[in-house]
Order: sequence, then C-alpha cells, then structure tokens
Amino acid sequence: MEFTEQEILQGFINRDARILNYIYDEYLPPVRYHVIHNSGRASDAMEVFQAAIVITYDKLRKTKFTLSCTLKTYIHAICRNLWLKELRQRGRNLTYSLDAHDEIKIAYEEHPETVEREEVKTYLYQKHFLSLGKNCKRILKLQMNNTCFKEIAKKMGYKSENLARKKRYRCMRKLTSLIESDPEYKKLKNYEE
Amino acid sequence: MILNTKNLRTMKNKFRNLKYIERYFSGNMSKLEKEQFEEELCNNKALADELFEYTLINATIGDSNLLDFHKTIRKTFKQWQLKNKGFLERNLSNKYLMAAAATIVITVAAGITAIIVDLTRSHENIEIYAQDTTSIKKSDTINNIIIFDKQDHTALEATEKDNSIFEDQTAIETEIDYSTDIYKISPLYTELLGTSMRSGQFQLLSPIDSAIIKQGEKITIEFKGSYPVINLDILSHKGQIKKSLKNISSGHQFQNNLPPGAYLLRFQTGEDPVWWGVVFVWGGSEE
Repeated sequence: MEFTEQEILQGFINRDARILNYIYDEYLPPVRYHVIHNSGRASDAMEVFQAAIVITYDKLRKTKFTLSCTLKTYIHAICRNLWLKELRQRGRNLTYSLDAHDEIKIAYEEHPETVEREEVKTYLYQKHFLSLGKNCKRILKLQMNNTCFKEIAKKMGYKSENLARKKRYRCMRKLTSLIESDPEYKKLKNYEE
Repeated sequence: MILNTKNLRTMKNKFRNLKYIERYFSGNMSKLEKEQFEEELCNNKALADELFEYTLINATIGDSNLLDFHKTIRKTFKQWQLKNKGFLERNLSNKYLMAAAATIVITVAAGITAIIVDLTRSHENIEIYAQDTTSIKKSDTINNIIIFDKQDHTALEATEKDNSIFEDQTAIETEIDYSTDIYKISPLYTELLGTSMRSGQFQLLSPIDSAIIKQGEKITIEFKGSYPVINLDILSHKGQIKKSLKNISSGHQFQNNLPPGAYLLRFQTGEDPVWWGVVFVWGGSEE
C-alpha cells in the first residue's frame, strides 16, 4: 500500500498503526543494511531505528511538525547520525558507504540533522521507564503530576503516606540503576567527561 | 537533621545522592539542610550534574505525549515482528498444503497411469499403434507433473527463504557471540568489505552480505554484471584462504563445510579483486 507524504506525516504524528507499520516496512531495511555494513548487528540497527523514530517525533513536535524533506530522509539522516556517534564512541569510523544506492548517506548529506546528547538520553530514560513494573510506572507518574503522597498512598492502596514515599524512592532507585547500567548511557557519560 | 556534606563530596558516582536530591525536590529538607545542600551544589560538580540528570529524568517521564508515542512505537515494533513471523508461518503452511496437494496429484496420476498401462497391455496385440500413442501421452503427463512439482517447490522454497532471511538471521544473531575471536574480522580487511573495485561491473545477489549461514547448508552464489564467470576465494577472519572456486558462474552451489566463524568472500577475475563480502557461519544452537 502506498501513502502520500502528507498521509505518512499525519499518520506518524497521530500514531496511526498502518503508517507506523509502513514506516517499519519501508524505512528500516536501508538502516539495517547501513548499520550491518558499518560494524553493527541487526539488533543495533533495530535500536538505532527505534531511537531515531522517537527522536524524530520529539524534534517534529518542537518544530510544530514542519519538515523540509520527506520523513524517510529525515529519519534516515537521524539514523546515520546516531550510528556515527555510536561508532565514534566505539573508537571506529564509518568503514563503508554504499555508493549511489546509499539512501542513508544521501539523506544525511541533504539534511545533516544533529542529534543532541540530551535527546538520546531522553530516549534512554523513557526506554527504561517503560521497562519498569506497572506499579512503579504508576507511582512515578503520579508524583510527576504533583499528586501528594497522601493521595498516592490512597490511589495505590498503601497503608501510609510514608510507605508511598518509600515505594516511590525504591522505584526511582530502580530506574536510575537501570539507566546507570545501560551501556549506551555509560558511553554517553564517558564521552561527556 | 544536618546534612553530612562529606558524604556528598565523596560520592562522585552518578545517582549516589538520590536520597538527598529526592528530599530536596520534594521540599522535605529543613531550611538549614536546604541551605547546606545549595551551597554544596555550587562547589560539587558531580552533585550538580546528578541533580540536572534527575531533573531531566523527571521531565522525561513526565512528558506523557512523548512517552505515549514511545510506548506505541514499542508496541508497533512487537506487532511488526509478529506480523513478519506470521507471514513466514503462513508461507510454511501454504508450502505444506501445496506439497500435500502435489502428492495427491502424483498418487492419482500414478493410479490412472497404472490402469492405462493395464488396459494398454490387455489390448497390445490388437492396437499396437494406439498403445504407443497412449504411452507417449502418459509419460508426457507424468513428466509435466514432476516438472511442475519441482518448480513449485523451488519457487516456494525461494519465497520462504526470502521472507525468512531477516527473521531467521535476527533470531540466530542472538545465538552468535560476535565478541568471540572467530567472528572478528581482521581490521586489515574490514575496510575492504563491500568495496566494489570495478564499480557497476559486479553485483552479488546471493548470499546477501553479512548473511548468517548454517554449517552444512548449501550456499548458492548468484551474481550479475559484466562477468559470466568469476573466481571466488573464501578467507578466514584472519585472511587465510580456506576455499577457492575457479570460474564459477551465477547459480553455482556448494556445501558449506566451514567451521563456525566469520568468512571473507573475495570475488576476482584472474588476480584482480572485484568485490569483498562477508558471511557468518553458525554452527547451530548446540554451540
């Protein structure tokens, strides 16, 4: 099934499952090829692609969803940037580029979109937050919405405000340790220092 | 309670001051503690970084819009993987159905043939010419069935292989430990990978670059371009020649008896390299 650029962008913003599936079908293969040919694995390509999609969405939100190129070009440019960063952190360079067929290279040359470290961090934080248990996610979100501990205790079914506080602390502790032990995060920190 | 600022100073690792930061953020510090903490923030870069990181984490998990999008993406990815898997399974079941149908057709055809043979034999003295004609038609029919069956299976296998390359390789990839030496290609060769020495004159179609090939499996070399035949050297990850195939044409097959590891494929005409590729031989899950 083919979609117009407008439909793709609109579907992407609105999280339309058909469009998101289309994006995986059509945009992922060149990324996979690019990463594998530059010292990566298929799983690296998946991670880079997922990060690029989330970062692209975040960037588009900030620019009020205006693009000067196709979404495919934009995502590919972000992917190349992310993988380039990753290779640098591994102390390697891009070893291979597909000549005229390298969609990623062309995309990057046309739109050398920068990816800030904070944007990558945001992706990592969210990734680990989403991997937390249901209760932890709920309690952390409640507190983010400025819900007082008394209310949190009530909503979560805890006996006391103090217990809610302890649980919240444990969840935050769990989240930070997940982030700390993430090899990507470690690389980012080492790069900063 | 008075803060032990010594602790704050010595805790250089990230998120080690979480307890204090949490209290600072939730407004659970006394005035004195708060003053001490803020003073410490001015002199302790590690603590300031940690506080910034903490703020960022909180802002991130509080960003419901982005978080929901992220959640949807992860869900879509899982569904997408399942969808591809389902597609493969459907192809497999279609293949079995087709194979069963072909078996039935062959069995029925063989039965009919046997009857025709019997009938023909019983009339052989009377209708010699008719018998010959029947046998020619009969053998044509059987051959057609066999040819159709073979083509059908080949086509199905090809489709199944095409569709499963990605899925299979992703699954197998988790089994391969790329950190082991046998899967590490010497840096001398890494830069050559994918390099077309004579651009446009050679294109490798199979095996796809970086393909994972199971030990014992048949490898088909398919290529297109200006060369009708080509020489192929298979080199170990360290660059030692393990196998040499001379003057092979596209479609050439051979049994993969190489032990697990990364292998370089060097295609050349005479002594001139045309293309470098890499494949990974996997020994199976028992490894």
